[in-house]
Amino acid sequence: MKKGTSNLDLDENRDFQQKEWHFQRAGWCVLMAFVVAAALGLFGSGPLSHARTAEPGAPLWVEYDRFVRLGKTSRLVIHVTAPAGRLQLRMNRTFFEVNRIQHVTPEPSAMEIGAADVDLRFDTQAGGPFTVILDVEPLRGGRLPASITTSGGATATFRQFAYF
Amino acid sequence: MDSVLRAVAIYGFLLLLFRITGKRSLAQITAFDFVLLLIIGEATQQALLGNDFSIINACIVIATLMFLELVLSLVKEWWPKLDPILDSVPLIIVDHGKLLQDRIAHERIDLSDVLAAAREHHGLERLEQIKYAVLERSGGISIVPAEK
Repeated sequence: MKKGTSNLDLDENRDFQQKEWHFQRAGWCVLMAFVVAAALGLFGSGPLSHARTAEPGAPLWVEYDRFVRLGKTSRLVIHVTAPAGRLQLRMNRTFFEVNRIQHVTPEPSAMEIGAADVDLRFDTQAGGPFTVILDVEPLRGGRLPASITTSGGATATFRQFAYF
Repeated sequence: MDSVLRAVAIYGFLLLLFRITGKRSLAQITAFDFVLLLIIGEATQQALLGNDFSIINACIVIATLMFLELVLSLVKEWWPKLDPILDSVPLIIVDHGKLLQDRIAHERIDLSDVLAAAREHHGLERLEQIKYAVLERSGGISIVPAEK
């Protein structure tokens, strides 16, 4: 197995070693890109991940994370201009099937599950800006579609990606 | 199934990561390297077990890791070309008292590392007393002293 120039009985392999160094240099770049991407939020929680469906001030806008992780709670903040009395938010049923809802703040006064949608109703006293916070935990990886419609007809749709 | 996939994914990721960072990456040169190893172990444990702390889950994960290790060793035996890919190759870094600069630069080693190994194992004092120093696949430096 002697391939080196020495009289040491060692299976040194200069060609392979050279290739390994090249591979390692390339690997360092990949590693750096991975860490930078993670720091920026490509794998969840960070500026690249944080998003909203519309500008603040719209009748309905949602703050969400584009990238979430399986089994890790993330937060949806739904901002809506609510009518006085009662607010209804209609969400796609799939959202409830692929996520476990940990908390809804404030607590909805009623919840109705239909064939394709889930309705959440909230008591609003005076109306005006109203915020609903959903803490949710993805139950499966991949794309998770979400859509929210208010009783006033405003709609927000967005998609999240859950990492395994 | 989940536990097996987790174990395979983490095994593959760690294997790749340690091949990228090189032979010396966790050769425990300093006390901090040891601490780092512990921290990595802790982070890995979370990923391997998830939030399932049952004994059967631990058994599945351990069995999968051992099985992967076994399979790889068998594959290496059948297909020797895979051996350097998975485990790297040894590298001569001192040849008859001469430090091979280009090689140690690539492996991020310096003279003091070589001399430390020479002192530790053979009580050698100077570079000239070393016939060969080899950076082994494990990341350790082995020393062959020069004949007196």
